[in-house]
Amino acid sequence: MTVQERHSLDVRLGFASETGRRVRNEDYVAALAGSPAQIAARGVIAAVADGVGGHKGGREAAETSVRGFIEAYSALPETLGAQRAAARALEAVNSWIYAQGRSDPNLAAMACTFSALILRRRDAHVVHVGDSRVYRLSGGQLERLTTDHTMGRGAMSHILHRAIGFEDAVRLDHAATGLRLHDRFLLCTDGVHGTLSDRALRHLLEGPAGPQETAAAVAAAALDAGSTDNVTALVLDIVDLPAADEAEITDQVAALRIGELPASGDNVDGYQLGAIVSDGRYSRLFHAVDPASSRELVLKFPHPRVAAEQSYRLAFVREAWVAARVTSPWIGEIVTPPPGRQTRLYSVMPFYDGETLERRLKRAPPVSLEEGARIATRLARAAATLHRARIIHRDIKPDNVILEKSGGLRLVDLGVARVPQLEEFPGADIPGTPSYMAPEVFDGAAGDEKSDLFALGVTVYRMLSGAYPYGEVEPFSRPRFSKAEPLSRYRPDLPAWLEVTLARATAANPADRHGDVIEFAFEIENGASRRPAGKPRRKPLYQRNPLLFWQALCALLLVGLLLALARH
Amino acid sequence: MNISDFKKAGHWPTLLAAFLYFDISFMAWVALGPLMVYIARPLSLSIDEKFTLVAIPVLAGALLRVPMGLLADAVGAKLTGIIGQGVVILATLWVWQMGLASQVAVGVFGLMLGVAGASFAVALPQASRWYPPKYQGVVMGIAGAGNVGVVLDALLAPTIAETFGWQGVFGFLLIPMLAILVYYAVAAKDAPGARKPLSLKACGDLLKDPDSRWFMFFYFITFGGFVGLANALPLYFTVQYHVSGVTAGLLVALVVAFGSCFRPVGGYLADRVGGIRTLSILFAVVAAAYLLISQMPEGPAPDGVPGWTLASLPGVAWLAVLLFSAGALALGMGNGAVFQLIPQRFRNEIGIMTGMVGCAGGVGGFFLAKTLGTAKALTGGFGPGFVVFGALALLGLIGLVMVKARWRTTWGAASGARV
Repeated sequence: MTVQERHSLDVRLGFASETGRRVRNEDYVAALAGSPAQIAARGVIAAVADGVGGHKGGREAAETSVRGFIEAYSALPETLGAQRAAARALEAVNSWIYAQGRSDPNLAAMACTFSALILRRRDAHVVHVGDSRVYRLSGGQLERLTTDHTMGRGAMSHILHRAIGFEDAVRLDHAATGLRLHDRFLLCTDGVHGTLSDRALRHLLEGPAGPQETAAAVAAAALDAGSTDNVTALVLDIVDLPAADEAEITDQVAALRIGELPASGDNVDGYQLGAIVSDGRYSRLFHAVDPASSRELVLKFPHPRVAAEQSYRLAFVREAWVAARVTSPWIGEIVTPPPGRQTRLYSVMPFYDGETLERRLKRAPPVSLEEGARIATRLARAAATLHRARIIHRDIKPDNVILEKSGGLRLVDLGVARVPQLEEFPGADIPGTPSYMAPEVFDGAAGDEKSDLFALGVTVYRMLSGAYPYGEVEPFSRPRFSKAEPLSRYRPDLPAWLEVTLARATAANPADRHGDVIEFAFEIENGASRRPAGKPRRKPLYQRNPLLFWQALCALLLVGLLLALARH
Repeated sequence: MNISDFKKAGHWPTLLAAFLYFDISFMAWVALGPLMVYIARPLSLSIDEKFTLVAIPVLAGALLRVPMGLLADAVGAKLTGIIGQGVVILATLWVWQMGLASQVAVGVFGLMLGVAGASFAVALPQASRWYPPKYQGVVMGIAGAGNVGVVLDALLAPTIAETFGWQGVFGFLLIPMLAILVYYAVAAKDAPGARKPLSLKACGDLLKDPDSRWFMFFYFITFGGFVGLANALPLYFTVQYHVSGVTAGLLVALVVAFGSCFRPVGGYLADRVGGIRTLSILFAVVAAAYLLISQMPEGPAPDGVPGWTLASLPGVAWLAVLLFSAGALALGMGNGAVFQLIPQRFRNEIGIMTGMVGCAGGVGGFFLAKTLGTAKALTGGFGPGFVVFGALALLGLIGLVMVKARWRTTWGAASGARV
């Protein structure tokens, strides 16, 4: 953290959990903050659970839920976004508890309520099942962020209809709200809000005391008011928030300079530059060796002429950020240099020995059906890996596919990838390569799984035919996607199922495409394995067109007859 | 688009004033073309000299954009506009009363008319700065419609010259000029907010980009062809096909009208199928038209009468008109296609780029007229001049292929998609 005046999310918290008039404390509360860097990356998680009375193993359920949730949530990739990651973590916890409750007689029907608060950057996410509560005190107003999942009023008012461990699929509530500086959150179990009114709670929370003292005061007040349940309260204060506009990433980019392009043989930050791999309009790639690890690398330097283009600068950092969060044998890696080593803007990638698909297409022999199917399924798998992490590549094309000599395949260049759950990157212009862009992207859509599938379909189509289904699209034009050219026009030898699959993947209407890239991969894989790749057997004329056969025969006989008549 | 929204969005009196200023300036700028036949008569000029004189306002108009633009930055667009109109009105007044007695006088007058041609640099930004981005296309379209001035010139000037003498044309021109100056002085208002001044360094940086040089070349061909033909054709028709001045004016009006009216069609086509593809086809048409024209024989001379009239025009002249119309149509559409691409390729430098490309277009016009004159002087025929321009159009085709290769990139490729 180099710049002192930079703001980041910072919280203070405290909690109290009292057994009260019960025998056992079946509540469980925990929070995870960590170092400022950890907070910036993962956020702050606080959770409270109340083991359901009347069931055995209530305490176990509460403790398992809270600990399991925090652990699972922190392990999931950030790119999923808080909502999806929380849901996934809680689903895992729920199925485990549900299974335990059915198999272990000591823990039969174990269950608990669960409420968690996740703070990330400037947002708060609440995940909630049961009748524990999350309150927010903001600007003197106390607001309840959860709804109790209990049956009606009166005598039934304490009966839960939703909890962790009730069903094998948990139905959880999710709410998101923006954070404000000096907000104070309260997480509590029904031992607290069962006896203390919202007014009393607000009075207690409004005091000047710190979070720890306040939490203790809330618990004590609940017991004083005659609570017969366990009482648990967690108080969390927001003491600092990150700046509203840009992510921390932008600051990093601003710090690194774009210098003049280095030349072959230069030494940059200890990397020994070798031959130029490619030299484009926006960047120059060098083959390089890191003497420290004697590892073969590729270094990508931005061209100084694009120094002014903020979106392009961002792309460098975005690529590193996204790539660091996906590890897959199908995706091009980005090496993060150790802190302090990098003094200018460039990105470091491992050197993959091989050729790009674009270059492969330019040389003989043309891609055969088997080779094509193999590449297509792997490429689809690469895209699926990204999609599973909620990352949209947005620039799938043969140029960005590396076929390794070892037989592997890497989808590279995440510079323009989109992470819908973390829409922190300003999207002034929608990038992509026109010939591979889906119609909806031309209409202004930011790009999603379906538009990646379209690009994938065009890539495979081009790989097999050398042409584009809607023709080559020129930059700066608004093409019409009227009718795609069938694959058989260029490759009549390829089987019909392939044509149908590609036509579906490259359908102009996103709704007409496959559900996801996996489905596309499945169709290709299935078609390729089920049907032998050889040329379709040429049918005899009699089968293809019986009418023509008889007509031709009759004509032949007529000629013979005329000839015979002419002789006489 | 909602008309009332549009009227509220900017300052429409300024838009109207800018349109009128631009239109009348355009008329003045190209006035020498159709009139040269008459002006040159008492001066006994060679054909080469006539073509040079016709081309002077075009060149001056292109080059004077820079000082006019700088002046507008310094003292405001309105004052610059008034000064510019004042200069042209005084020059016109002088010519109306005193005539043009020598070749030098014609040249100096041509330079003065160049000030009118430079109104591009003042009128268009003046109108556009009042309007938000979403109306830019409409505003530029309205202000740019001043191109019709050329057609009016070609149509009316020879007839007036026949009836009242060629000086009378400038007398007539003075009436709308003064009226528009008064309206402009009253109605036009400089847009609030400081304008980012034009910097020569930014121009230099842009010139380092090969794309910008190619675009200047493309406009050199398309706009140069359009404005060059507008100025040179009246002379060409009288010399090559022996038509009368009035008839030449009518024929040129027809040819130029094609170029003016089809400009938006070129922009539309470029939006649909891509600017490069559109320009490639247009350049091929232009090259074919120029090369065919270069092979055309001279028309027969009429017996006794001073020149063919429309009714008695020989077939070969009609064929030439047809070819020129096809060429002008492609050139006009090419103008539109070039200006569909420029704002998207040079999104951040659009102001400077427009100026530089426009300047190149003007120089192209000068070059075309000058080349035709030189070809006639050196070889006795216009053919080689058209061959040069046909070859340039083919060179443009090569340039398109190279630009296209550079555009196989990821960034900004779809920037125009959301217009």
